[in-house]
Amino acid sequence: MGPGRRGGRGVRPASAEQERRDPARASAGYRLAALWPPLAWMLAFVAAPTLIIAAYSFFTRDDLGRPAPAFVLDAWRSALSRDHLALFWRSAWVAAVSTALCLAIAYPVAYFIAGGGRWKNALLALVVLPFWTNFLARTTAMQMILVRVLGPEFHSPAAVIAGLVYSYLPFMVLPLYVSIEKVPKRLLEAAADLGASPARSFWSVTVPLTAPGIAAGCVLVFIPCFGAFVTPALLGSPREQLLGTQIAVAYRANVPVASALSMTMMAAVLVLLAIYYRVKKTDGIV
Amino acid sequence: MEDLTEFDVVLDGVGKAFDGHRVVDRVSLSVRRGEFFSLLGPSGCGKSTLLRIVCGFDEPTEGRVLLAGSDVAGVPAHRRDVNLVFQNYALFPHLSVADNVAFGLRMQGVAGDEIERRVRAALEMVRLGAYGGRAPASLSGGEQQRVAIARALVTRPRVVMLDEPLGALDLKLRRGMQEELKRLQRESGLTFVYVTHDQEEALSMSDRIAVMSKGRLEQVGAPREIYERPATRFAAEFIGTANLFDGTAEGASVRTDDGLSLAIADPRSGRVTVVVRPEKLRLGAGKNAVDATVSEVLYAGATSTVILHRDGRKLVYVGAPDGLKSGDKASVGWDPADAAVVA
Amino acid sequence: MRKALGVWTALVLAVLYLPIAVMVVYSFNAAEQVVVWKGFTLDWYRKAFENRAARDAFVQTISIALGSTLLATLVGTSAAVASVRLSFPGKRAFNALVSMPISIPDVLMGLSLFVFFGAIGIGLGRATVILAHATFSAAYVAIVVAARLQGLDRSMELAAQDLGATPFGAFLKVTLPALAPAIAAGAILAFTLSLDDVVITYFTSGPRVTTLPIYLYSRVRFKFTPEINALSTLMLAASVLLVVTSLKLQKPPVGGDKR
Repeated sequence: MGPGRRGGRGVRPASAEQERRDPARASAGYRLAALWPPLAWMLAFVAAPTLIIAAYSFFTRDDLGRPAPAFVLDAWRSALSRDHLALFWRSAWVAAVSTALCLAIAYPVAYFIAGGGRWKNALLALVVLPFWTNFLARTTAMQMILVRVLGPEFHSPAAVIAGLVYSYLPFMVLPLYVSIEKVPKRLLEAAADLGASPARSFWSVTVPLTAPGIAAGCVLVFIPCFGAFVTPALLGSPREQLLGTQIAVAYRANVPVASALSMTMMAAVLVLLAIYYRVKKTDGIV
Repeated sequence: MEDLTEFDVVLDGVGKAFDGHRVVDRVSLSVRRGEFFSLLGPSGCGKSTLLRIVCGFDEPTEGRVLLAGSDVAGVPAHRRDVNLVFQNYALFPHLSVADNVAFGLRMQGVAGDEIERRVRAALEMVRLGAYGGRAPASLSGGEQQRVAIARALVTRPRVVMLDEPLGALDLKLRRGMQEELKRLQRESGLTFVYVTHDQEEALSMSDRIAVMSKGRLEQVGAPREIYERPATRFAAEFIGTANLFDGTAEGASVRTDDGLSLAIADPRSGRVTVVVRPEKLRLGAGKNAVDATVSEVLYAGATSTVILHRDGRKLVYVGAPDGLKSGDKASVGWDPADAAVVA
Repeated sequence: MRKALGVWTALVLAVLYLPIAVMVVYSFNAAEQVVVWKGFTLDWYRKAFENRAARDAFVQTISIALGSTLLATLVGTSAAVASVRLSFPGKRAFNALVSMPISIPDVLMGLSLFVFFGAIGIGLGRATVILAHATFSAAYVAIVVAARLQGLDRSMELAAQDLGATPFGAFLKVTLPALAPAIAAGAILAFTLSLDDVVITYFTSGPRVTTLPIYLYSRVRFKFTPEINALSTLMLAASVLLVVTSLKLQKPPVGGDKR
């Protein structure tokens, strides 16, 4: 092929060639089939409902608790009142403690599995399986244990924390495992070669390099813990309720307040998700 | 017990077996303080395993390893005074170049300002003085290599081990780095153990070379000695180019397998291989003469490489081409004293 | 050190499975109370089967699961295809939208759907539960299918096009069959999730529809009978079976993968 020889015979017209190489520019039929149904669905059942809740938080309510169109700040005043804020912070605190406990318990497990050779997949499956099995069954089982161990008066934030850690531990193990596995073994050898004891290697090399996994795991556990409903309802004490349960219990009586409370929860969650997506570095669904 | 203090590394009958397969087979050698010592051999010869054993990443299944006179059996890697320059550099991605170099010093608990001083000096020594704040990922392969070297040298370990450090670099860079490494070793005075499969590299850089094959030590000696007096057939063939004649010796002559009768300097008996280096061959002279046909003449200015063939045997001659061209008949010869005989 | 980690892991696994084990064991316990063992019995299972309310709830649960799984599989699969294979403006927002049902707490999803259905005038009933379940299940299906899709070698589809197939036809004939196990795995996952769901069902079912988890939830808060154990054990067994099947289907087959 000599220089300056462009086009001419042997080169198919640009558009057809490109069309073959890049299905994205292909027929509109393909795009319609794949993109619009899920988009429409999600807009209808995820985006629209969220917007409606946002709107309702400014409505008033009628005698049956249903929202009536208006623009008032009553619901917000209630949602940001001292009692409700106490609920918010209590939920955040419970979620934080649960997350920290999950991290402390899960990290050694993830570390062990990552070094595991043949048994890696089996161990991972074992750890993750409880998470996918019936949630209610597990929580009732947890209830049984707590009754046995602590007596019938076990209801407390501590019991809730125990239940949440129990439920979401597998959720923390996975991202930690993925991150730990990626640390090149050579780097740990290099650290040892330069005089780092195993403990120092761990804190100077492994932990910093698994920071993304730690962050991801924490965000993934914190959010459901923060919004928990069933676990606090079954294991928590009625006097020290959490935000999720409160919303679930009181929503019919006062939709605008429930909406406002949901918005506060949503705000906190979206902030954390923004952090998570930043840390995650990929833009895909996976 | 001889005085071992002049040796920084002593391997005494070191062996390593995996699943009954001997990867390292009873290797014994000593590395003197301050020398540039190479472990040379093709891939799979066990040199990398030996390196890992000395560094402390693997334990030998037999034999002893002594560092500066003391047995290091059971001593973990982080307590051995050996630093390794990894083949793929193994720089810490989450630390800057300066922090990478400082790592070993921090582990030793050296004071902060001294660390700064020494790191700067080390980076200057590898000509990366301005790169301290950069991230390793932003450097080229050659630059990362130099950071890895600085990191290994800055703590002034007893032994610096280098695991095929120049393998990933292109030819020109490699030549330049070879000179650099030699200079660094000389200036720092540290003991270098250099692992490579590139025999040219080993010949040009080392004070002494250990040639390995299939887990065994073939020969240890200065480059010249190994080149001119190879101890085994493998060493003869692996180092440089050689004309090899296998045969049976009876006294002062050898009958080769393909019918030639060659004279040798020292009488011996049994199976031998006569080794003649290409530059020792002369055209039309020498007590041993072999007639052959010229296949190729590879011109290279003052000397050329002439490839000849005789009955399926290939001969390589290096010297003045004397107007030979492909297809010519020529006679190449040598005197017995110019050849080596290995058993 | 590794030993210590191993012991810790074993301990954690034991604690994870202990409540489940206890629950299963006590579902066969002849005693009413949890703490004493009085002998093996299947009474509680018998009672569970005879329980009319539980049976009705079960039927509801299954029919809802089937309906939502179908929808979720369609929506989720096309979301995965759109995300992995197409490029279009606002893709990041699209991905975020699709994953939102599983990123935000169930309570928020539940309340927002309750409010949504009320706003557009659909009364709460089986249909609303199906739609709600389909929404969050679709996200999981999308994840499973997208993961598999990313591992597939794109040149297969291009080869088909090169041989004359239209882009869409190539997709149907080449990619979709290779995707089938992942789609099945996703569907099973969706089914399991629908079967197990409590929170979202709570908000979107209304007074006339009761699923098994909702039934259990209301019973659990009142009084703890071993019958609940039996029901829970049955649900647990069902979930485990489904999840294991789903995992097995997600193992990539030999050939056709990116190297």
